[in-house]
This record gives sequence, structure tokens and C-alpha cells, in this order.
Amino acid sequence: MIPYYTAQNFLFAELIHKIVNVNDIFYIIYPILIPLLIWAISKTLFKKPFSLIAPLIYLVSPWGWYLAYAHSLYLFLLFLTFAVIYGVILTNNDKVKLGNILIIVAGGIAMYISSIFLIFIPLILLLLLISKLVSFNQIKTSVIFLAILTFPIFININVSSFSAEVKIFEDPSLVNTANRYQGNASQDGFKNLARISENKYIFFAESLVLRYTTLLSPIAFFTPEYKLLGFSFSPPILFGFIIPFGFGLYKLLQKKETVKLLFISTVLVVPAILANEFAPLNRLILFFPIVLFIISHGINILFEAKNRSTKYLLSLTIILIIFQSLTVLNDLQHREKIRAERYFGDKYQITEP
Amino acid sequence: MKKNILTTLLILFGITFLGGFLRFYKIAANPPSLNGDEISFGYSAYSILKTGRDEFGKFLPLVFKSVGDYKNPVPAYLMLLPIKALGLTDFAVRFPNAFFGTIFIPIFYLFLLYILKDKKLAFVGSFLMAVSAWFIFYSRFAYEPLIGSLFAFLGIWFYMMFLDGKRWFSLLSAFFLVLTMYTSFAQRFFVPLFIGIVVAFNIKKLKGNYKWLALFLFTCLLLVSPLIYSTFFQGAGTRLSMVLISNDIDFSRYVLVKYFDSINDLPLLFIFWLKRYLNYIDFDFLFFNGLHMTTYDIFGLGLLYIFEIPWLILGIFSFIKKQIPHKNIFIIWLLVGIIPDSLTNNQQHGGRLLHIGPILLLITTLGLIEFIKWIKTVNYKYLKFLISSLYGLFIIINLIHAFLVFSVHFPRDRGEYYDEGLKQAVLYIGKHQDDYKEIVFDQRHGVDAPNMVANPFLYVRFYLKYDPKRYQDETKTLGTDIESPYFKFDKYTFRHIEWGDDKFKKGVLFVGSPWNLPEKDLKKGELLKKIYLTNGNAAYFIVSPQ
Repeated sequence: MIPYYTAQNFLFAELIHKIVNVNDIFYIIYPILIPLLIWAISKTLFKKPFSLIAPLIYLVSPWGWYLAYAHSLYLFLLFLTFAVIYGVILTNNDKVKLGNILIIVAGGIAMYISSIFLIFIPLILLLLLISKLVSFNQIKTSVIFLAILTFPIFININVSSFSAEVKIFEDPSLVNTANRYQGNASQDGFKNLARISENKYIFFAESLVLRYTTLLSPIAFFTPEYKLLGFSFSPPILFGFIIPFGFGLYKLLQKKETVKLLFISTVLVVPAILANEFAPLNRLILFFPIVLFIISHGINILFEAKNRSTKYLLSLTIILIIFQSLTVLNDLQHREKIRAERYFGDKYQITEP
Repeated sequence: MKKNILTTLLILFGITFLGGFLRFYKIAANPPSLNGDEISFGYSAYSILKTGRDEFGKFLPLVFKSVGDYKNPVPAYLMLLPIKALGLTDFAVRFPNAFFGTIFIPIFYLFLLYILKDKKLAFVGSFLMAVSAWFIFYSRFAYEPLIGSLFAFLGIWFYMMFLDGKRWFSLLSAFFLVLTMYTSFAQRFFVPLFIGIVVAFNIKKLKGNYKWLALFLFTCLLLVSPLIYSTFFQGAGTRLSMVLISNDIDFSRYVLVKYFDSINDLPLLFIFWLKRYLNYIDFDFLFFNGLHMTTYDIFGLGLLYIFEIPWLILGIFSFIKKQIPHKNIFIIWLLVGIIPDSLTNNQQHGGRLLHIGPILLLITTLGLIEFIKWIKTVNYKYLKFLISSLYGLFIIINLIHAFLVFSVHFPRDRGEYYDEGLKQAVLYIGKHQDDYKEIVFDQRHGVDAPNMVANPFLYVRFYLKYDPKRYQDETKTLGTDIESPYFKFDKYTFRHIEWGDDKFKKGVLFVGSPWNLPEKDLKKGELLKKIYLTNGNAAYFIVSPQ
């Protein structure tokens, strides 16, 4: 049994106390639509041949495929997030009406199926407004409609609705560690020092910083350190892409506007921070678009730069990607089933929890 | 001018004194006990000092045979002087590391001054090294990679000076780089790799100095040749084969799902290695638990402090943007420096990365300066004050936590891993051994279960100051059964205790863990002493059948 969300866990299903049956075809269609949306967004950011890079990277990355196989709710939320982002881009490109429709539909659905997105969608819109990446006039229709649409949820929702998705506050190890540390320190006469520096609030803040930084570190995206679906040795994104990623990131961090944009985009890791797993790749997929566009930007620059060192980097990237693709394909064929069976037991199947 | 020099010296002395204090304070008591390696090095040095030979009777060896592996010679030879001056004590064994850890600070200052030509930056950098938990921790016990990292650092610095036209420094560079290889395994693979890549990348800069480059390489080869001989012909390469990544348990169990046995497994091994390599930028390792000083590695200490996170990030950008001489050497130093540890079958280890410590501190220093500049740009006076105060408070809280980890949690959580309790057991034996015909030690220990194995014979030799000459000459009995190891010299026997049989052996003193000498099975008066760990758990019982 692969323990991921399915339709039964949709927020509105929980609120109306009904089981929602979703046809399997749904799980096949939306993963196919994701690369198309990526391409649509990519076209607004990059010139013609380079706009194809982001969807291509998505297609060759195991991340999306594994989560699609597991019927991940967050992959669907990623699809909706892409739609919201595309909507915002459209409003910026004088297609205000179409953009707003997209934001309302995608944002509304997202808010109806995930309690985190009830806070998350308004937060994204708020940050975009504060950073002046979009004006209030452009998205005011979306804001009003989303407020009206989600009003029934806010009436019905209670704290327990969040508990299925927000697990971080349930971590008992923080309190245990604080108690143990304070107990030991007071035995040695350092009670007050421990109360200042080793209390549950400090540890909670530290664990938030740790989760946040860990989730943003390349290890999570480019290596199989945090195993996909709990067992796989396939990395979420092929390792070779780390070179254009690093290059693209470095270039983006040199401009004030893009730094601001990147900083805001880190909000996308918040759902992953709120999980009880240390680095949940299921939720972290919401940050995938940012990584994709950074890699695309890096490849774009590497292609256009004419010096020798960038050519070497590009060649190294291609060699690594080909090498790893072949290795991963071979590995999938020979070992992945054994790993899955070891992890789930030999009669594993995708079932609804 | 004179006043200026005096102020500089005074500040540098202050920083070094602070660093020295943090490294030397209660050094013999914390870490709570000498570990097996320290004890082994200490006794080898003692044996050399008394007889000119190691405990196996080898005259001034270049490789020290030890339990299951071979040890590097430099740490043992560096202990000669302190042991001669202070006797065979815990302090004498730990003295070289604390000493080299302390002099690293002013040397690092001079290096930063040479590279950055900025006194303030050099002071900040050396201060960060003085208070670095990473450098303090590994300076407080006899851990050879710390000394190795200082030698590697000097070798690299002198190579930079050689590139700057100071030709004679090529010889000094060769000397220190090779000395590193005689000091620590962690740097033994790093040095040749580093030399190869740095020479290749800087060959153009040496135009006109090729003769000196040849002399540098020749000196390296000449100095390293005895080590090559001992590695291939005297068994010193044993350790290498033991710790290779292909033997990694995670790799076999979860990745290959079998043992590594074929060339076809190499591509997957390469991918696994890439993962390992990238793990070194894991924030948990770098800032939270890299030093593994607490149980379960929860909220311990990393290589850098948590408050240094923004400084490191800002520092990376500053390092890339800033005009820094020999930047390519720094990059090679950092990237190649991680390779040796990433090729081992253990999880990433802060100690084996000490040789890249100076670069991380240099980058952090640059970041701190950028951070201060940023705070200065904040327009509102009160906001500036608020940010500075809050950050200052954060630093203080972090440093208090570091203090508590060092003084409270580390001895409690890790005492067992440093074989705590064996010293007290041996000192007890020293006082009472004449009353017994045989002393039996069980090598297994662990509070709850026999999950650890120590080498108590090393502690017996060390704390009883056993005559090295006698030890070299006398007959020793060594069992070959892995399941039931046996070793005997003089009246000391090291074997598993089976209390069901042993309880009838009168006149014998037994030292073992509470679970192999259960208190409920002991008669009144048989339990002579209980030895406790710092955390209050009983580590050893000393028992004699009545």
C-alpha cells in the first residue's frame, strides 16, 4: 500500500462527511497536463527553443512520474499551483480576464481540497502584491471571488481539519529533548542557562530553520537521499541538472528583482515544512517549478555564452544526464521492484488509505 | 607605527589566549576518558621514549601497528616531548592537539592577512577559528586529522607563496604536504589529488619556474617514498581497504540489494558516491549535528554555528565576486577536500574534513563582513538597533547552548563511546592487584547490552605504566577465535566473562559490565566496586568470587 493522499482525503469530502469517488482516468489526465502548463509558463519566460527545456526536464525527471503513480494529492496541487502562476502571468500580459478565471478556478479547487492551501493561496497572492509583482487591480476579481467561494469552508472548518496535513506541532521529540537537556543541565548547576537556550521554543525555531534549509538544499532535489515513495534510489531530478541549476541560481541572485522573486517562491516549501516527515518529497514537489525554471535559465545562459568553460560545463551536464539516465533505467528494471517489496511487503498495491 | 604593531600583537594574543583557554580548559576530564586511539598512541610514544622501540619491539617505526589496523607515526612522535615532560598522563596525551589547535589561530591570522591584505578581516577570521566548536572539539583530544589539517594548510599556503614567486617555499610546501600524509589518514588521499589538480591548473603561472616545480614534485616523491613502501609492503594499506565506500552497508542493503561484487555495479556506485558527495552541503551536518556530540544527534552542534548560516551564504557570494588571489586553489581545495571522506563507508565526518575548515572560515568571515555592511545600510536607527540586538541575542543563546553541549550533554551522552570507566577500573586494579593471582577483563561493554567492544589491555598498559621493555619481551597469548577473543599478558587476561563458570574461581578479580556480572547473582561481599558513567549509569562492576 502506498501511503499517499487520494480523493478521500480531499478537504471538502471531509467537511461534507462523504466519500468522493474519483475515476482513475483523472489520475492519468492531469499529470499529462502538467508539462503542457509548464511549457505555457515557460514560453512567457524564455525564447522559443529554450521554452521547451522546462517541460523536457519535467518529463525526464522521475519525481513527477513516481508521484503520479502513487496518486499524490500534492502532484494535483502542483498542477493547480501551475495554473494559478500561469493565471498571474496572463494578468501581467494584458489578459486580465482569462488570468483571473484561471486563478479563481485553480485556486478555488486547491482551497477546497487542501486545508493548507486555504492559507497558502491567499499568502501567495499577498506576497505577489507586497512585492509589486502584480497590482491589486489586476487580480482584485480573483481575490473577491476566491473570498466568496471559500466562505462556506471557513464557516464549516475546524482545527481538526488541519491536523491531517499540519503535523509539525505534534512532534514529541522537541519537548522530550528540551526536558532531558534541562534536567541534565540543572543537575550540573546550569538550570537557568538551559532554560534560556534549550527550551522547546528555541528547539522548535531551530527545527523550522533546519527543515526550511534542508528542503531548499540541492540534496533534496538532485540525489536519492530522501527516497521517492520511501524506497526508490531514483533521484527526484537527474543529478546532471545541478550544473545549470547552480549556474542559473548564481546569475539570478545577482539581480535584486529576481532575488525578491526567489525569496517569495520559497513559500512553496511551507507545506513540506508542516509535514511530520523530515523531507517529504511528496509535498516538496510544489517547489519543483522553481527548480525547473532555474535549471532552464541556467541552460539558456550556458547555451548562449560562447566561452570555453561554459561549453565544458554544458558537455559535462549532458554526459552526466545521459550516464545517469542509462543507470537509472537499468536500475529500475533490475532492482526497484525488490526495493518496493522490501519496503511495502511483497503484496503492495496502490490503495486508498 | 610601534603602537600599531603593539595593538595588533595584543589583539592577536587576546584571540589566541581565548582559543587556547577553550582548547586547554579541563582537557584531561572532557572528553570524559581517553579513547582507544589516544591510549594506543600514548603508550606507543611512552614505549619509544623508554626503549626506542614500539610495543612490538620495532625500532623507531614509520608505521605503528595497532589493534586491527596501523597508525600514523607523527601523532605518536609528537607525544614524546609532553610525555617526557609531564609523564604518561591524560593531559600529556592530549597536549599536542590542544597546542596545535591553539597555534593554528595566529597562523590562520597571518594567512588571512597574506591573502586578503586586510587586518580587520584577518582578526575576524582568527576569532571565528578561536571560538569554532568544530576546531575546539577536535583540539580537545588526540585526534590526528586536526594536526594533519594544520600541516596541509601550511603546505597549501606555502604553495601559494611559491606561485607568488617565492621559490624556496616550494620545498617547505612539499615538506608540509607530505608530513600531512604521515600524520593522518584523512588527508593521505587528499594531498596527492590536490597536488595533481593544482599543478595542472596553475602550470601557466609557473612559466620560468619549471625547475622549481620539478624540485617540488621530486621532494614530494622522495619524502613520500617510505610511506608508499610501508603502505604496500608493511600492511599500512589495511585501513584503506576496510573503509572504502563499496563496503558501505547502505549501498549494499538499500541500493544494490546485494554485496558489491562486479564491475557492473560501478555505475550505481558512482551515483551513490555523488549522493554522498552532495551530502556535505547538508545543513543538518553543517550547522546542527555534524560533530555528533549528543545522543541521537538531536540539537547538538554542527561544524559551524547556526548563527553563521547567513554569513556562510553571504560569504559564498562575496567570495565569488571579490578579487581574491589564488581563488582557483581555494575552489580546488574545497571541492577536492571533500572527496576522501566521501569515498569512505561511514557517514560524513566533521573530523575528516578539518583540512577544509580554513576555507569555510574564510568564507564565513567574508559573509560576516557583508552582513555588517548590510546592517549598516538599514536606514531607520531603531530598526538597525532592533536587528542588531535580536541577532546578538540569537548568537548568545547559540553560544550558551554550545557551552552546555560541551560541558553537560557531551560527557553524559558520549562517555560510553570514549570507554569511560576503564581508567577508574584500572586505577582500582593498580591499588589491589597484589591481592589477586589473576585479573580478568571482559572486552564487551554497553549500558544495556554488549553492543560495544573496548580494548582494556591498552588501558591496563597505560594507566599502570607497564614497563615497555617487559611488555616487548614477555610471552603473550592471543586467541584466534573471533567469537570468543582472548588475550593474556602477565597476570591480565582479556576474555568474555561467563559468571556461571567464573564464580567459582577464587583469587581472581573480574572487571565486567553489570549485565555480565548481574548483581542478583553476586554473593554478599563479592561486589568490590561499581564504576559509573557521567550520566549515572553503571559502566563496570569489579567483582571477586568469595
